[in-house]
Amino acid sequence: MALFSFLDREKSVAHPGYSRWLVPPAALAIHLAIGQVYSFSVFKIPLTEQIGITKPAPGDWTQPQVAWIFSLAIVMLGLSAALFGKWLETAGPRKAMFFSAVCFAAGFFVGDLGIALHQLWLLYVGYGVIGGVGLGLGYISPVSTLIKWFPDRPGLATGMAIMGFGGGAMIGSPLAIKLMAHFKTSTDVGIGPTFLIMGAVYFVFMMFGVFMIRVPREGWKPEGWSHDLKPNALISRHDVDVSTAVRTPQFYLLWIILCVNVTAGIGIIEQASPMIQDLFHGMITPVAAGGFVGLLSIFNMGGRFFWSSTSDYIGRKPTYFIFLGLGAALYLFLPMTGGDRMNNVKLFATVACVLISMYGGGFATIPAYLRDLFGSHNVSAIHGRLLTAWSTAGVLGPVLVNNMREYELAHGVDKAGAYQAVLHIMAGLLVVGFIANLLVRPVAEKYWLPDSVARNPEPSAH
Amino acid sequence: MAENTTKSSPAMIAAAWLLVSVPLAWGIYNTLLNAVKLFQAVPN
Repeated sequence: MALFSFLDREKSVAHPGYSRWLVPPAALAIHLAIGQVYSFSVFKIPLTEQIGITKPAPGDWTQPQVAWIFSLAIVMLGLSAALFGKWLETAGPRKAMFFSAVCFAAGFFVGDLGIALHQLWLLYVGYGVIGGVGLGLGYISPVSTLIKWFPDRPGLATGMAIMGFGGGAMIGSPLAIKLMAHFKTSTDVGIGPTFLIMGAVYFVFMMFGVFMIRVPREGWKPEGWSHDLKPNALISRHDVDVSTAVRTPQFYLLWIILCVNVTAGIGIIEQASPMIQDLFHGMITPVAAGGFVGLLSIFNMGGRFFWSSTSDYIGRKPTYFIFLGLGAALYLFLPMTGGDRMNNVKLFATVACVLISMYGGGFATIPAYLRDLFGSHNVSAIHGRLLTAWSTAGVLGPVLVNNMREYELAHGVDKAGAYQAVLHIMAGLLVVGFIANLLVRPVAEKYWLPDSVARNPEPSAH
Repeated sequence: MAENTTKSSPAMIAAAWLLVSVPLAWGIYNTLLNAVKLFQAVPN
């Protein structure tokens, strides 16, 4: 359709002189918006009190029913990233970002209809399924474009975008709280109009990204970029097609690395508030524990930028050795800071913040690791398939943490002791990831696309 | 048709970054206000 022809890949090719520094804000506009999903918990209580207004009443939805909305959204994120990654490579980032904006906003609008009609299934379909597709499309859409604009610093580039996903919750949470407070009346919790406004605001914000995004011209490379950098065997100048990449051992090793890193991070995020209160019994109030959760979200976001940028200098493999090696040691150490041993809240918070920074860093550095191994040709599609590790960890992490803790408590272990067992298991998982990282080797020549070296500029140092 | 070779203006780049930085800074500010509560509660 001519009206939408501006979305075509060829219409988004940058003219000579277009600054690559306009591309990260375009990517950030998408990621800051879709990162809102991680603040969905602020809707949980209002959604369960729509009839009772101040407390749940007969006919109100229950917390477990409402929790499925978020779970569906995350599952759809992983599935749509895996399914549409290949399409994105041909359709281009602008079209993918546009459909991401449409789906994400439509998720809010259909959700609003569900709230107005008090039909929960509309929230499942709206925010969960349709919005979830928007999340998946939006998450992977700027990745390969950024890598092509920043062949000299792919970690920095993808770190900037994926940092936005971590930061999105920090915007979404206070925005939703303020809007609901504004629209709340004696007969309405105010969530309906909040959904409408958030859908509209996020759509406009994401459209800024749609209009700003550009793909570099064929053969473009950064001005003054030096070619005489030291070679690294783990950085391929060859491309691997997505359907071939998923048959390589490297893909599965990276899948394991991402899965264990995310699972371990969720082990803290999932239990952050009760964990600090139980480990420092009587010292930490629920309000202070809320502050701890806020602190973790800052380090989750900052770690994405810091670690992925650092990986440009020290290399992707060493960066993951830090995440997985230091991470395992810190998970073993963390329970020792608790009230019954060192009794040091600041040390506990510091260690937890470092761990969460590496959790975020694991997300942000993985696209550059994929680029190093498989080239930039199909990196979005490969990244999309790899995100199934995230979906798996999203289920595995909470199940592992909750079941292990329940098991320990049922066997007479006190609350603080139960956390120790959970954290030690997380350390064990990271050791598995460490071994997987150790096994990562350059992709064998038989997997390369023919003539792919001609498409790729010289790689950066790491 | 002549190809557009205009260089992106620094003002446009700054405006683009400002547009995404302002909401992010607002979000970080709100989160920091919340995070401070942890340290207000910690005696050591």
